[in-house]
Amino acid sequence: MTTIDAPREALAPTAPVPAKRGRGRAGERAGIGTYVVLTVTAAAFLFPFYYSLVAGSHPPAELYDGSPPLLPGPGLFRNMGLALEQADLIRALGRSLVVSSVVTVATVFFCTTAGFAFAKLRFRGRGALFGITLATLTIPPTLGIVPLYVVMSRLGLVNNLASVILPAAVTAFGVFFMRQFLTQSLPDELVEAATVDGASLTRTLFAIVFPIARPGMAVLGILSFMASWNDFLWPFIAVRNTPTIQVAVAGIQAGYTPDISVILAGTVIATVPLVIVTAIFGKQIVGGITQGAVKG
Amino acid sequence: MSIFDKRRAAGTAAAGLVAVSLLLSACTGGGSGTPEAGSPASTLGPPDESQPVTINVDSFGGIFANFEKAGLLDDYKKLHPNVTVKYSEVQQEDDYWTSLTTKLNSGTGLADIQALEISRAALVTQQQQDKWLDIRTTAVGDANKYPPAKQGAITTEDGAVLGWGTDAGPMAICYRSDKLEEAGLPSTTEELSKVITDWDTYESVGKQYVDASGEPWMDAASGYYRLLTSVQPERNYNAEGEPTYATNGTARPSFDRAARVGAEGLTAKLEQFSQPWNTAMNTGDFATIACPAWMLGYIKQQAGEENSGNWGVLPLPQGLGGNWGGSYLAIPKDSPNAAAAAQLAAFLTSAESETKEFEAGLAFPSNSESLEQIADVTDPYFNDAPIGQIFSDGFRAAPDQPLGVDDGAIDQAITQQLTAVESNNVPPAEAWDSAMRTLEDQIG
Amino acid sequence: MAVDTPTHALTGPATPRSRPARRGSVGARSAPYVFIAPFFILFGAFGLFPLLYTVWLSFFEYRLASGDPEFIGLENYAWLFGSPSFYNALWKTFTIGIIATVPQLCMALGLAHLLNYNMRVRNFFRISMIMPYATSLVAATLVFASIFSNSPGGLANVVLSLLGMEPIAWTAGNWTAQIAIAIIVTWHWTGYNALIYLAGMQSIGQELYESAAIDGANRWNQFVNVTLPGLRPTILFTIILSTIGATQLFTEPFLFGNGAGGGALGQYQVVAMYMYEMAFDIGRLGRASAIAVVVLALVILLVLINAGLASLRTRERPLPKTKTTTTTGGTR
Repeated sequence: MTTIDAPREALAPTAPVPAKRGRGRAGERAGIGTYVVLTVTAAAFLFPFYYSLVAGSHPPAELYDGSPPLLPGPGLFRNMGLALEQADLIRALGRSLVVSSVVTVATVFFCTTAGFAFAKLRFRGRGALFGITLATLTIPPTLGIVPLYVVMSRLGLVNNLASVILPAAVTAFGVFFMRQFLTQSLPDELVEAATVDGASLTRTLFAIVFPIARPGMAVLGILSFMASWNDFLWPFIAVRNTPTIQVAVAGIQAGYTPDISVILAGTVIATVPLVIVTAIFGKQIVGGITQGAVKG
Repeated sequence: MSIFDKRRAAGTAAAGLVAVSLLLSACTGGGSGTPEAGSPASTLGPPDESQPVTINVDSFGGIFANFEKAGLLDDYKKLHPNVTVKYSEVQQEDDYWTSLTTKLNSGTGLADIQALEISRAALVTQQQQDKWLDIRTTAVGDANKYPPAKQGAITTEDGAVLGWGTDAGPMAICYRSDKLEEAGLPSTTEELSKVITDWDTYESVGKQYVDASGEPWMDAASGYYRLLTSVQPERNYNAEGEPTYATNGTARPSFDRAARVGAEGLTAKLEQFSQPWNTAMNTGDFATIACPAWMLGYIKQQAGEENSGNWGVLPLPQGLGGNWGGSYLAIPKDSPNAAAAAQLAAFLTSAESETKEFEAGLAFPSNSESLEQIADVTDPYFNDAPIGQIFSDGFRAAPDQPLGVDDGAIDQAITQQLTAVESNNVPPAEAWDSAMRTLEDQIG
Repeated sequence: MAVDTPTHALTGPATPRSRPARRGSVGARSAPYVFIAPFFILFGAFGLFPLLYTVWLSFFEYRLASGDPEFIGLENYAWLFGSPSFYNALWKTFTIGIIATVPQLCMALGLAHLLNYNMRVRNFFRISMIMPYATSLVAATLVFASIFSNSPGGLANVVLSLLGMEPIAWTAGNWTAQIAIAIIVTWHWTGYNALIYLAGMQSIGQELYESAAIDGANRWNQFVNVTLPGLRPTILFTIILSTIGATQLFTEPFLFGNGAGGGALGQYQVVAMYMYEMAFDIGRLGRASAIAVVVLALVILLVLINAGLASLRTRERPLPKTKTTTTTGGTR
C-alpha cells in the first residue's frame, strides 16, 4: 500500500504557490465553453433542491395532477410553519449544529494529524496499520448498527449526543484522504527542514502541515459536516429522544398520510444550513495556498 | 522500548474491550425464560394517581398524531392531570421497526408504549412473547373487545394478549364514479353492487370498462392479489403454524386470477405508493382500487379537493370481508411505568375514543363497540358513501387468518412476480415457480 | 525560530524514499503513534466490535430480536454459496458499479479542471457541485421518480420522444433500471469527487502550467500532461474509495425501487440491498452476517487488486528527475 501513493517519478507537484493575481490558476481565465458546461452542470445538480422548494410550496394534489408546477407557489412559508409546528425542528437544528461541528473539527484535526503521520513520518508498522485503516473502510454500515447500539447502551450513551459524535469523530476516509493529500502537496524536504531547525513534531504540525493542508482540510470539513448532518439511520436509533435534524424531519407528518409538501418544506429548512457552511468553507479551498511562503 | 509497550498496552486494552463486549452481548438478546402458560400469575394494580408520571411513547405512521388531533390526549390530561404523555413518531414503519428490533435486541431504550403494526404481530406473538406485557395482567385488563380478525392476531398460543387494537383496514373497493359514468357503466354504489356480484363479474365489468374507455380498470395486479387473499380463512399459514402457501387454496388460485388480469392488460401496472401511482390516483388513470379504510385518506390527499365527489366506495361482493393493516399499542415487559401506560393505552383504544377519532375523519376503529357506534358515518368526498356501515360490516366479516413470521417475505415474493407478469411479460406459471424458488432460497 | 521561512532551497518533489527523518528523542519516536492513536482508539471501540460481532453472528441462526442465537456452524455459508440470489446480487453490484463509477470519475475530473480556472462566481459553482450531496433524499427521490417514470409523460421519456425514440418502462426493464440508477448515483456523487480533485489540484504549481503553455501546450494537453500526473495520488484515492463505495451501494437503488427487493426480477438488487433484505425484512441476522463477511473479503481482495495494478503502472514509469528541478526553481 505504501508504495502506491508517492510516485517515484517526480511528476508529483511541488509545494503550492502563493496565488499571484486573485485565486486559482491566475492568468488562466475561463472560456465561454467552461461557463456553459459548468452552468448546465450546476443546473442539473441544483434542480432537485429547487424542486423541493417548488413542491414544498404547493398542495400535494397539485403535484400529482399530471402537469406538476415548475415555479414556487405561495405556500412555502405556511408549510414551513407547519413543519416547525409538527416537529421540533429548531432544537433539532441546534443539536445537529453541535454534533456536526464537533465531528467536523475532530475529524479534520485528527485525520490531518494521522494522515501526516502516515504520509511523512516513518515508524514501525506504518504499512500494516495503514492497511488496517483502509480495511475498515470496507465494513458495511448497515449491519454495524445492531452491535453498535449494544456498545452504546452499555456505555450509557443512548440519547446522549456523544453516541452520535464518537463513531464519526475520526474516519478512515478522512485519514486516507489527508494522507493522499499531504503526500501530494507536502514535500519531505519541508518537514526535514523544520526538524533540522529543531522544531518538535507538534510545532511542525501546526506551523507547516496545517497551513499547507488547508485546501484538503476545507474539503474534508465540508464533506464531514454534510455526512454528519445528513445521517439518519444511526441517530434515529441512538438519539431518538434528542433528535438531530434528519430524525426530526422524518417525524413531520400531517397524520396518517404524509403530506409531502410539508415534509419537503421541512427538508428545505434542514438543507439551508448546509449551503451556508459550504459557502463559508468553500472560500478556504483556494485561500490556503498563500500561507507558509514555501517558495521563498 | 516504550513505543512498543504503549502499542501493546493499547492493543491489550482494545482486545479486552472487545472481549468484554462480546461476552456481554452474548448474554443479551436471549429469552429470559419460558412464557407463562395458562392464566397470568400476577396482576398489575392500577397506577398511583397521586404521583406525577411521564409516559414515553414510540410510534409510527401518525397514530399518535391522530390521537392528538382528535383531542384524545387533551381529554386524558383532564381525566388524569398527573400524567404527561411524550410521544415521538416517525412516518415510515420500516425505520421504526429497525429501531425497535435493535432496542429489543439490546434490552434497553424501549419506551413505555410501543406501537406495533399487524404485519409484525406474528413475530411478536410467536418469538417475542416474553418481551411484552400480557394486557390481561393489568388493572384494565382486556375490557376492550375486538373482532376476531383483530384480537386473534395479537394473541399468543397460550392465550396471552400482547396489545390493544388501535385502527384497522377493512377492505372495500374504491372507484372513480366520474370515469365509470363516462364509460357508460353504473356509477353509484347500489347500481354497481347489483352488477358486481363476485370476482368474475368484477373482472368482466372491468373488461367492459377497458373496452369502452381504453384505460386500465385497476391500479395493480398486486393490489388485486391482496384483496383476493384477505377474504380467505387461510392465507400463508394454517392454524398449526405451518407454511402452506405453496399448496393451499388461497395463494395459488389468487395468484392465478391476479396474474391473468395482469396479463390481459386490465391493470395500470403501477407500483403502489410510488410517485406515478400517486399521480394516477389524481388523474383517474385507474378506475378501481383495493381500498382499506385508510386508503380514503390517501385518495383525498393525492386526488385533492378538485376530485371531491368523483369517488365512491363499493363493499366487497357476497358480503365478504378482509383486512389490510392496522396497529396495536403494546407495553414492553419491563417498563417502569407499565400500570400508567396500560391505563393510557386502554383509554386511547376504548370505544368512545376510537369513535371520536373516526368521526373526526381520522383512523378507522377496531374496537367492536366502536364499530356499532359509527354505523351512520358518511363521507361527502366519496359521494356520501356510508363508509361507517361498509367498513364495519366488512371488518366484522374479516376472517381471523393465522399469521406467520415470514408472511411479509412470502407476500413480497409473490407480488413481485405479479409485477413481472404485468410489466415484463413473464408467463404466470413461470412467475409462480420463480416466486417459489426465491422463497425456498430466502426462508427455506 | 526559522521554521516558517526555511532558508534552504527546495529541490524536487515529495519522495518517500528520501533520507529518513532524524530520530530525535523518545518523544519524537512515539509521536507518530500518538498521532494515529485517536483513530485506532475510536475504531477499536466503535468499529472493531461491530465487525467482530458480525463475523461471530455469521455462524449462528438468529432471528432479529427474538429467541436465542442458535449455533449452526458453516451452514449459513453453505446456503450462501448455493443461493442464486446472491450471485445475482454480486453481478448487479458489479454492472451497476461500473456504469455508475467510471463515467462519474471522468466527469468529476473534467469538472474539477474547469473549476480550477479563474472565473467569476466560482464559489457559486463550487456550492452547486456539492448540492446533490446536500439535497435531502426525500426531494431527490421525488424528482428522480418523476423523471424515470414509466409513463410517457416522465421527463426521461419526453427526452427520448424528442429524439424520436419510444418511451421506456424504466423501472421494469433490466438494463434500463440499472442505467437509471447509475444516472442517479452519478448525479449524487460527481460533485463530491470533483471537489476532492479540486483540492488536490490546488497543490499543482502554477509554473508547471505556465511552462507547459510556453511549450505550446493547449488546454487539453495541459490537462493530460500537468493536471493528471499531478493528481495521481488523489485519483488513486478516488478509485479505491469508489470501488468500495460501489460495493456498498444502497441508498439510490433502495429509493428507486421503494424497498429492498431490487425490482420484480431482482434486476437491481445490489448486494447491500440483499443483505438489508435478509437482515430486516426477512429477519435472519445470521445469514445477513454471512453475506457481510463474504462481501468484506471480496472487497478487500478487489481493493488489493486495484491498488496492485495501480502501483504496477506507477513503477513502470521512468524518473524524469531533470524535468522537475527546472520547474521548481531554487529561489524565487
